[in-house]
Amino acid sequence: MGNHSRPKLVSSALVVVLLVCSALGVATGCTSRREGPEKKTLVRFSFWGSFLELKLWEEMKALYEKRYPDVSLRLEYTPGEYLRKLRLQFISGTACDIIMVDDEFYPTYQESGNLEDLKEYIARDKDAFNFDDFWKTSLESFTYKKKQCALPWDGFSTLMFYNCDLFDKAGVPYPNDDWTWEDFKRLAIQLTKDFDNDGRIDQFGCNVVFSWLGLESVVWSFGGQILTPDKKRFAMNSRKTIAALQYIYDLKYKYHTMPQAGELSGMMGEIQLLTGRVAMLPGGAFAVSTMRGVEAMRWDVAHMPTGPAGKSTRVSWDGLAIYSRSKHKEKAWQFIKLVLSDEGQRLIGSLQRAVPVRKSAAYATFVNPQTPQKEEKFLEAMEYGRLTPITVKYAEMDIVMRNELDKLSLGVTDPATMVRTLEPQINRILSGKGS
Amino acid sequence: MTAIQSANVRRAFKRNLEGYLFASPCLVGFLILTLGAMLFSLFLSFAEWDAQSPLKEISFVGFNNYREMFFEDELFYKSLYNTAYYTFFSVPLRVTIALLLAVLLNQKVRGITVFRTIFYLPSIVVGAATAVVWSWILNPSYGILNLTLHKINLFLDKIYLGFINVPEPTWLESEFWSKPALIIMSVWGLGSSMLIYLAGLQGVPDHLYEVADLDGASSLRKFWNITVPMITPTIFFNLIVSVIGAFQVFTQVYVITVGHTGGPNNSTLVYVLYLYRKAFDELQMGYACALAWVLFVMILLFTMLILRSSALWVYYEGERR
Amino acid sequence: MRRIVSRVVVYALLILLSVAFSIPFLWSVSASLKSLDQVFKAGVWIPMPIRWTNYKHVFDNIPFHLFFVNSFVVTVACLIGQLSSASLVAFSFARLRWFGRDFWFVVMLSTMMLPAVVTMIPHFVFFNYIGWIDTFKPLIVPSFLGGGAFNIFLLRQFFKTIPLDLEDAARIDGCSSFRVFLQIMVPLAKPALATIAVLSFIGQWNNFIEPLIYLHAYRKFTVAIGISMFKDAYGMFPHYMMAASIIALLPILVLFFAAQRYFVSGIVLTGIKG
Repeated sequence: MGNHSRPKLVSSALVVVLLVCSALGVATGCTSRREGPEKKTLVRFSFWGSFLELKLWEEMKALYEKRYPDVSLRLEYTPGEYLRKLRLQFISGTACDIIMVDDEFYPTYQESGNLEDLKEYIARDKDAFNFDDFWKTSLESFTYKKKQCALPWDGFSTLMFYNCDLFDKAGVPYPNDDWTWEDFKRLAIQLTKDFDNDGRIDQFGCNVVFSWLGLESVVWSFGGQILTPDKKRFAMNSRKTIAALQYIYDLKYKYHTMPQAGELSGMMGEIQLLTGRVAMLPGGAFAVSTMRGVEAMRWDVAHMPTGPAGKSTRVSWDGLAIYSRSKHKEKAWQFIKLVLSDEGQRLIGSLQRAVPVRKSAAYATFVNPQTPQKEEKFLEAMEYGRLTPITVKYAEMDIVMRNELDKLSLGVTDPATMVRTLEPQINRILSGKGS
Repeated sequence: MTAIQSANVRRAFKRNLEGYLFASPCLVGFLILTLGAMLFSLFLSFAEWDAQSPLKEISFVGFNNYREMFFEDELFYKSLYNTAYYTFFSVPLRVTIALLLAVLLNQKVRGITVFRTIFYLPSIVVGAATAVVWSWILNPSYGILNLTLHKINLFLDKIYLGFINVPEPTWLESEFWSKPALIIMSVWGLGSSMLIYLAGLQGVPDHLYEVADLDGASSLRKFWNITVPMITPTIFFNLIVSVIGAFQVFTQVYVITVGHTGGPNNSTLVYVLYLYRKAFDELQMGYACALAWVLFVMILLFTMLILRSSALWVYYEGERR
Repeated sequence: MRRIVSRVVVYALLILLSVAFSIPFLWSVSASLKSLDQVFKAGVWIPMPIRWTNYKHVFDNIPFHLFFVNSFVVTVACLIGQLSSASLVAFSFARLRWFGRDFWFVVMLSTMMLPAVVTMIPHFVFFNYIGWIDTFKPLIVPSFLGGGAFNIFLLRQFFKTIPLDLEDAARIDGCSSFRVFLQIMVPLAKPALATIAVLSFIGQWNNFIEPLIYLHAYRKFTVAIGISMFKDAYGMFPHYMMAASIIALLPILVLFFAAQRYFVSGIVLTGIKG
């Protein structure tokens, strides 16, 4: 050691430093940052969806940039974990100028102060919008505490999908739109079959998911409610709601027309229908284009069955908002106007992934006379459709609802007991005392 | 100071400098990236925040989160139980089966590379795709697992052993069988442990086996008396890493229980899933950080325990005692 | 005779277990070649008809080739970073004696004990503060700063198994620590380094959440994100998703095969016997 060690130590240190530096150099060089040409304003838009939505927004972007050549729209597509990324961006102040929002978490976004109130923009551009042409419930889903911080751009209603081939095979006539829940029960029983008599049911008449979003339609058509109209208290503890829940519960446990736990797990609703395991199930308008991809089976839709209180179904909307800290709010607003214009809406409707928020565009593009199915029923359903009661406490409420409904789905509790258990829990959440 | 003493001091200084220098990438990284993040989350555990409002909206609440966790939160204990159950079963299974497989795959037979690849495959498929595959396999009515069990039952009936009934559980939809389902999935994903064992086995000098052969030792004795002691450093590694990983199990459970509900009666609500839900669904980031730090302390204690015990059973060839 | 029996046993076990282990993969391949309605049909292994076009559709619908390039750049850069910095650090923990070593070792281990969920926010805020959002930097640079506690720990274990005699001999000859590291430790730890190379490649290749939150422009996305474009809240496209994930697997398989030559049994220890 001795004399040799110092230069050796220095050389060791040098090598380490060099290694780190060159590495960082490589890393820096790997940034593929492509800025638009200097004079164009950069406006950012974040959205979720599948590759089909990506295509839609590419086309929308082309329309927008043609109309406003001084603006460059950057599509920030987030195919998963959208909320997580959005929240990170809110915290660091880097959210996009135009943000796609869902209705379920909407009140929490508004409360966080990250969305711009659009009331003044709307008032100023009164003529650009024809809100009469918007579906009834759409604007409401983004109105909270007298502020409108987002505008709806598309949504869906829920109808009963059915597998025509299974009906034909059983020699049962297709449902007609005036059918009642009694008719539904009868058909479900007729269409539940054990073909090979091995004790295992091979084909189920129906499948209604035991989630509160899935059961809302049934509850409402029986005259029941989830929450009081002011959304401050639990309202399911009523005879009518319990009757609705009992009806569905019986379909599963008394008449055995629905699959038991896990019998069809791993399959999303539409797939169950497509593979012929289930004859009827509720589905949203968004399922239409996926189902179209299957040629091997014939299917159609019927209005939800009529209950003691009439017809009812769940309607949900997606919205567009402007970031409150955006530096290009006007340009963002132009984009929203384009999406909600006739031209934009027709583009959305032609994709048939959801119902455009403008009635005229919906009737013009979502309804396709070439296809054997009657898509206009989704549009008709908008008339009797209702919104889920969304509150700021949606997430907590959802967890508690799921826990109890799971028990109902497994048959370990009954509707009356479940509702009684839910009541204090939900009321506690809604009053802000936590779960 | 004498000349010798100052020379010693210089040598010690050089030694320490050298040590720090070589370790510097890690230390620098820790100080810049990790320490700050850890302290921030620790601070948050004493506060309330919805993780989407601006940072200035964070409100300090003292020990509230911890108090609520230990005294009012049933799900905290439930998720802890779920995680402990999972860890208790999956870690020993992983650590031992991976070793046995690695030994099997270390044999000099033809085509061994192909076999190694096959065993490694399940652990390299992307998470989302793996979830789809497993929910199909574990499907109670037409998944291959239950179909096989059903066939076994039919076979037992045929040979008049019908009173033996192999259960055909509803797996992920059953409160009792959902955790075993997760454990099965984790065993299939032991490819990385196996690979590490394989690497460790390469370090066992052949001459030890040759000597044992000369003495006429059986395969089992060779395994137990040569292989196992020589790879205790690798076993130690896999044990610690598996424990840390099992305590923090999240991704697999998240992707397979769609909607992160926690499974039938919260039976698959593992600790980090509960944490995630608190952070992102219920917007209680402060509480989630408190949960994270409680977990941290638990893992640290467990790891220190294993570390301390290592002096008793881990043998390093390159260590002076 | 004993040799033949043991061979048969080995082969039998291998074949039996491989069948079990390859089932998930075989189902993926089968699903990737089916049309949508056939995907969930029970017990159908060979799709009828076999839809090779699913693979073509993957490339038609999303810029998958771009994602491949991005994934390669990020993954290889991370690989270089992790291999080089983890081995340096591990050497320090395994062989050098310095004040605070064991303390820092535990600190290093402890970085694995806090769930990433809670550190994501401060990391994101930090990277945003220094302007690294929408670049590959947050994905690559941390790999050069230690390369991950897992890798450091693994290599430290391996370095500790290398006999001290080799190092002693070298030091007597006047080798610096760095030369001991480069010329003795690294060559003997090749199986461990190969393992880290494979694990690190896979980890980075399949990493979904970090590229997702740090990258904005979707053309910079990686393969793992691309696969999830075939899945959305409404309609899944499991056949495309399987096809995409199988395409994504191929580079990993190639790497795995290539790394096998380092898993040849036995180190040759020169000159140290008795």
